[in-house]
Amino acid sequence: MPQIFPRKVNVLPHISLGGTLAGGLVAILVVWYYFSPEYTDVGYAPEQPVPYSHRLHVDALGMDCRYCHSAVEVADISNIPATETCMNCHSVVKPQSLALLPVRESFASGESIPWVKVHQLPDYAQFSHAVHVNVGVGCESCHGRIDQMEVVQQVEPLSMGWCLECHRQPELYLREPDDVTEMGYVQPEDFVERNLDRIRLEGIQPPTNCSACHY
Amino acid sequence: MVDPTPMIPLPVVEPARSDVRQWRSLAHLDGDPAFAELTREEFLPGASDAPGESSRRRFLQILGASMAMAGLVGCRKPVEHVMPFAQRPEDLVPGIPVRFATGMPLRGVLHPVLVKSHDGRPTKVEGNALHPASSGATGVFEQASILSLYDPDRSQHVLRDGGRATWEEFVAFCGQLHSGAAGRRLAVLSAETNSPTVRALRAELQEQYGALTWVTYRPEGDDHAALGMQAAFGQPYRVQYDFASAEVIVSLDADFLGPTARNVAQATHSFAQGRRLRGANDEMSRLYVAESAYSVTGSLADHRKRMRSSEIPELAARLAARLGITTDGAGDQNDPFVTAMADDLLAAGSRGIVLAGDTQPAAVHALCSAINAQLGSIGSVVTLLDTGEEMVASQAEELAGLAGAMRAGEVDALLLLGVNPLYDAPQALDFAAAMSQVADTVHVGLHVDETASVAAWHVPQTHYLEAWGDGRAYGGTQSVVQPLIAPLYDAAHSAIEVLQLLTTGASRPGFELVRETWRPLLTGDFEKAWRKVLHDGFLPGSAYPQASAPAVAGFNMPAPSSEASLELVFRPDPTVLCGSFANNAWCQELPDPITKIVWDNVAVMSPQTAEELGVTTKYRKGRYYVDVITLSANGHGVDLPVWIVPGHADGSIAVNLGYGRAIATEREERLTPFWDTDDKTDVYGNGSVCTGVGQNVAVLRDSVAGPVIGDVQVEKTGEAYRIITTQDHGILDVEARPLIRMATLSEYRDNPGFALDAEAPTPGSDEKTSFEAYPTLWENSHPAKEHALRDSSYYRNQWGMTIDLNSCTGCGACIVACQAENNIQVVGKEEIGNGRELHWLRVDRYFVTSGDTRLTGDPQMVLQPVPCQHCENAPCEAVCPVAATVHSPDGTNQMIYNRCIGTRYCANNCPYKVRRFNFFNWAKTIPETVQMAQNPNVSVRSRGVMEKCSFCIQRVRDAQKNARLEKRALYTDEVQTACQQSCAAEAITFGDLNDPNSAVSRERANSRNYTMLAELNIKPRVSYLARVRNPNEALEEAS
Repeated sequence: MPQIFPRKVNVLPHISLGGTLAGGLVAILVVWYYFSPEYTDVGYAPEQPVPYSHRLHVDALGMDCRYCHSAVEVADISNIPATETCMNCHSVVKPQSLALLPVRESFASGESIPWVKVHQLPDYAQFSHAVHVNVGVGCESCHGRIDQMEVVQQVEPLSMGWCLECHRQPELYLREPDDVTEMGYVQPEDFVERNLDRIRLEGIQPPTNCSACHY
Repeated sequence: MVDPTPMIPLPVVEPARSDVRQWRSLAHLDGDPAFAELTREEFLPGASDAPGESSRRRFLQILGASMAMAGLVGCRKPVEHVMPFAQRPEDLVPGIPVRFATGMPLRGVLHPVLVKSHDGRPTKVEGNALHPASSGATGVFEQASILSLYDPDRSQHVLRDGGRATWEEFVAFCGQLHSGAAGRRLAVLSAETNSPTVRALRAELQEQYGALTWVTYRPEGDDHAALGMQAAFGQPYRVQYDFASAEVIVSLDADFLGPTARNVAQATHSFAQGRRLRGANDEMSRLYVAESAYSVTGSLADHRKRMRSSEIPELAARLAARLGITTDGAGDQNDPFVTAMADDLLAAGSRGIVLAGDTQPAAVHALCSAINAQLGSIGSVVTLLDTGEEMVASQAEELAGLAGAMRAGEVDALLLLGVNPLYDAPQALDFAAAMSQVADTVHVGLHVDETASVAAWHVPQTHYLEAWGDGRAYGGTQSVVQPLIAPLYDAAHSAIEVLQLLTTGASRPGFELVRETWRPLLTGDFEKAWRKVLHDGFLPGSAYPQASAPAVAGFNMPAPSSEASLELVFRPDPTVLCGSFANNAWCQELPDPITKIVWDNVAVMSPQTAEELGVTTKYRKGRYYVDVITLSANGHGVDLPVWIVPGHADGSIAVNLGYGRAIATEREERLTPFWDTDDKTDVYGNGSVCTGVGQNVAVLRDSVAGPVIGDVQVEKTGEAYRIITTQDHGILDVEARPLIRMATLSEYRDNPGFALDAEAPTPGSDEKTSFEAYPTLWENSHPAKEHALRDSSYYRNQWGMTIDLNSCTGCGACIVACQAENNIQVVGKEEIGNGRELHWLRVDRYFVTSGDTRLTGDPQMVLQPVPCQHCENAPCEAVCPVAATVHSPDGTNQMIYNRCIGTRYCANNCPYKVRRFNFFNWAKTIPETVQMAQNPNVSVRSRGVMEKCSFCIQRVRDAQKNARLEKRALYTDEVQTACQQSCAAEAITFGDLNDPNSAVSRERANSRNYTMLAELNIKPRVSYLARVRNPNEALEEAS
């Protein structure tokens, strides 16, 4: 009786073993990258109900972040401004603009403008803007060059590993609290030494334990 | 490097007094074999089974199906919206919670509270510490009132003859009613209120209408205390007791520390002050209690005599005779209990208090006042307050008169304000028939309840957090009730708005009405004074005046007790009151302080009575199957399950009002596809929350709704019923380990360190040294010593907690406060039966007996709150395969929910059984309104995640954040946990152990300080202060 399987079939186990290993590796890499916030979240730029341009307001007009996001220094959340804040200027600037219709409608009716949240942290991560801003973490460090964005998009992964990069070595990222809103900030030559001094002096110890943020 | 650690044998604890036994239930005492297993196991048997009828196999099938489906929906990123204000109110910063001082009106008393609002949603109620009558603590119902606001079954629409109508139509109807007011006879049946605005509107109604009958309705019947005061002093004075300065307190069936007491927070605070032992030389008051059912107050008694409520008047008479107040009714003068009380009271003189409870007739209340007057304590520790109320008439007579007039067609219109007589009025009145004889009936209430369904009109009432109002605290201090949120339902209006509508025929906002009332009350610039009242939450100096040296008028001796062999006693329920909190899932889920029964009411009796009636409670494999009896009285019968409580009076059956409610809901039954079993575990899923919970026992009451009836028949139905109680949940090996330590005051004085003496000697030493200083197994490698933890700024605060067992009354306010603060989900009756409850804090109730007095004796009771003990060498941490439960630098043990994969190893390894597992996705099924009650600072947990007490770490982190922003260190005792803040007895102390000035450091230095299971050397951060009783030695010897 002839052999059911010819001799050359003997390589099949090797191929399948190698294939499984390679496939497994590929699967791990695929999950590693494509399931990570790097891939899923970075670049998220939803369309907003009003085509608000940060480039125009911040870069061209030179407005400070805190004119609109006024609670950033006192509250956990950095507020999206009330319609009223927009109308401070837009009652005289471009009062007929079609793009600003939702703003005027909201102001007249008292209904909120349904802005779409761009930077979403999971509910189990507690984050305070006030603490970070007051200690000298620049807006730019997490939100990127907002002043260059027509449409706001997420540029950093906001993952835990990314948070810890700074929490473990704050001296590489901190800036003077006065400079937090500056965009395109260039650190001075000796910034690491200066930051280390501040860290010592002000007792800046970013926590790295779980329950600092997760509760 | 890790040093090799020598093996250390675990110490064995010898019980100090072997004749003293501490037990949870009779089955426990009898050594039921199931208990050995219960003690060993992590959860109750069956906790891991799938919901409903299905098996584990079915569960896995479902699991597979739902995983497959989950893959399909998990791909999309949910779009979240940010909704900023169009015009932001000044001073309101999004994300920063704001607190408003307001008041919660409950049963005629305004409770001063401070309510936290998160971006416009009220989320948490605390006491208003600024208020003169509040220590900043709250009772169960203030805490639970948040959930009542978001109750998904609240009435949402104006109803006319059961069909939907509009508020405008109701306004038109009231306009018509008012146009012929002079010729109309109006009757108002109102819930108890002491609102000045209601009083003013009532006077106006009186002028407008041809005839006005105003009846104030208490579901529990006559106000015997007020009637008693009226009998004794000619005025219905309100009595306020200063338990803190009292030496001897005698309670005659008065549960003045129970959750149902009208000023429980104040009384508890005051009582605990008088019992606080900072050292062995401190004095503490002595409490005598004579009562039928075991109560919270009885559990704290130094001497408790169980006797039928109907026999207590006789005891009062004997006590009065002994004190020389009366000569008749002397009876047996040799009762050692009476002699001891009388001698103690005489010795205490003006520092003695005798008080009677709601179950006692007015004559006993009058007699108590006579005794207090004789002792000289009136003006000393007993204060009489002149509420300015005119004479109170008997409610029973007024109600009967009203019903009679209605039946006779002498009432043209009836307004029911926040009352539900069809549920709880005496059946003999036949209120439904009487209502049908009235042309126009208007019901104003939070729910479409029993009465709403027969009234011609129903108007949804606003919750107190939604509407303007006012009222007076127990002591009379006036407050404005200010709303924190607009009414959730447009049709909802407050009682004063409806009253005003009837008065003038036109609708006006409650805000204006309240301000009108307050205009003459405030002096100086009105707007300024008004804002101050709103800010502070009260008007200073507006308390009731003290009645000056009132003479005790003649009083009638209490009538001799009936000779019936069995009495039936009705009480408001300690968790749902008379039904007003029946639809509040937190209240239903809160175990009764004594029976620990949830989601049910039962007929409570003593073991002996049960034997005589031939009824039993069977305990099988951790489950209670009890006999059902039919209680028949006054022509009605109610089937109730039996429950046996040792220490209950023989020949007495106690039942709780407030169950068997029928509330209509507009929500539809939640039906889910076959693979989704969430509907099986959803307390909000099928009908209103209170649907099918317990039986209405109010129908058994006589025509005057008396609290005690003697004429009752009991018949066994032959059915068995499963009762869900948490009394055996989380049971520890109390027989072998001294979990509860107690002594008498003299024993304590002889040996202040008695609590530590109960501990095993530390290995390697014959001396009794504390385990606190004993080296740990991982002395050199403990996580807390790692650089990562030591270098954290959190390291300088080390949190700890002490719980004073001498102060704790076991009322349960802490449990509800914890539930509100920490987003703890409700699991429902069946799931508690499976041991899946989620309360982070449980209050263990132990009976304590000595010797052989198993059934005939009077067991004492001790209550022990058990949160997570935050062990320094936490056993849970060592076994977690994913490091989801870890130590924080500030010495607490924390659950990291997003890491947890649900192995439950940690719970298995927890010697205190304080870990709770989310067997199901409870949060997924809660209605939208209830979601608004969640605290945004705490993660809402999902299925498959372990959770437990976190020492309110969100409050700690918040305080640390604020300190950081203000560039300062934490103040001493800046952080309070939710349980601590709510505790009126101040039994719970939380704080920084590193700060020698902190309250917790002082408490820890108390000689009564001990930790549970210290011999395991896991160094818990929660310690207990041992219980001390102050018995009368003469009586102790006699018994």
